[in-house]
Amino acid sequence: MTWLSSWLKEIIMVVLLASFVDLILPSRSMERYVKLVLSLLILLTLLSPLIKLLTDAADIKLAGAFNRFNQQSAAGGSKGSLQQIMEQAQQLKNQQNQQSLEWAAREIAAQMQEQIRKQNGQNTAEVSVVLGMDGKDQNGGADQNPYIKGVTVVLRQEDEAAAKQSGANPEPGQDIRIEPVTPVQVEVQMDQTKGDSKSAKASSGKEGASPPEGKSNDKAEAIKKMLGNTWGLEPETIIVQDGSAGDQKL
Amino acid sequence: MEIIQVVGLGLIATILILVVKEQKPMFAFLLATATGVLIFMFLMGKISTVISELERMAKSSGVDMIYLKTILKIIGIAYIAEFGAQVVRDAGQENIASKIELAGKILIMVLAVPIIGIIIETVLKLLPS
Repeated sequence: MTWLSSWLKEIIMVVLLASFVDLILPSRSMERYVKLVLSLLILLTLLSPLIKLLTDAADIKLAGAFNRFNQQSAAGGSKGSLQQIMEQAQQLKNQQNQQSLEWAAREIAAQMQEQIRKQNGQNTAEVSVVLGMDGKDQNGGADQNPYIKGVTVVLRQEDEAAAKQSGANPEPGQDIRIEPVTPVQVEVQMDQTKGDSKSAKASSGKEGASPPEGKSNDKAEAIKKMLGNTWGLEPETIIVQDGSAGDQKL
Repeated sequence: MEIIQVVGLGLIATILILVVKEQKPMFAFLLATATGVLIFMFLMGKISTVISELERMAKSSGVDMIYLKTILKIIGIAYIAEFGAQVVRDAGQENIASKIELAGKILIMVLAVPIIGIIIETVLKLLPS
């Protein structure tokens, strides 16, 4: 019953408002037009339960339409509208950049995955790459170059043979061209059943890993080296993380 | 007693205009316009209290603020268009005055467009297709 009372209240309020506006209208000449709009508003209020039933989010749509109208009237002259157009163009450009970066990241990730698979003989490596633009502002011109912000490798295998093998294998001779690759973080995460979270912290940042967890570190090191060599990444910037600890963090 | 102030201002302005009109019709027009603006400004403060009261009422009764905004916009457009048209008409430019009124009417109609759109959409959905 609450909706009924609120609906009635709304109708009464709108009718009151309309009659009040009729009263304070300045002249006859505007009257017909104002009356049309006011009657439309009253009709809208009367229909509001029906509108809520039939169309979704009429209020939001109405608000959006009015906001657009407001913005249009606020923009005013040609200069404002030109500025608007430029802003929209900038937005579109940024969106496009973002999309192409995402696409490139996916491609690079796929290639890295292929490399790791070739090296280790394991299919389950998941690679995700985050690309970024160098240069301070995202809105700059053509002098920006994409670089790899971060690489995350997740290995889902505890195969020690593969790990041993990986150390010996030379990197595959793929020629991959990616434009200037600057500081990169490679995070190799391994899903290991024996969760040694210590090694993650110990080896993150430094390359030197604690000896007990030699196997996993060997593997991680190998992947790290391989990726670093193929993609021209500096070894200092590569961070190796252990799988179980990484998973807990994530 | 504001009404006395307004009427007094209007009377004085009218007498001055009648005096000046013979010599300098230009200054008479300026005087008339200035008086009009003054009275308009004076009324602005008064009408703001009315509008804030309306706003409060609408808020307490749960009416969509969109409706109130639309209605207030209509009033504003009507008032300003009317004022401009009258000033221009005083100067004898009937043509421009009617154009100003036309602009006011069209702007009011533009406010109605989203409402009409939603009503038509609802009606179309009601009908069996």
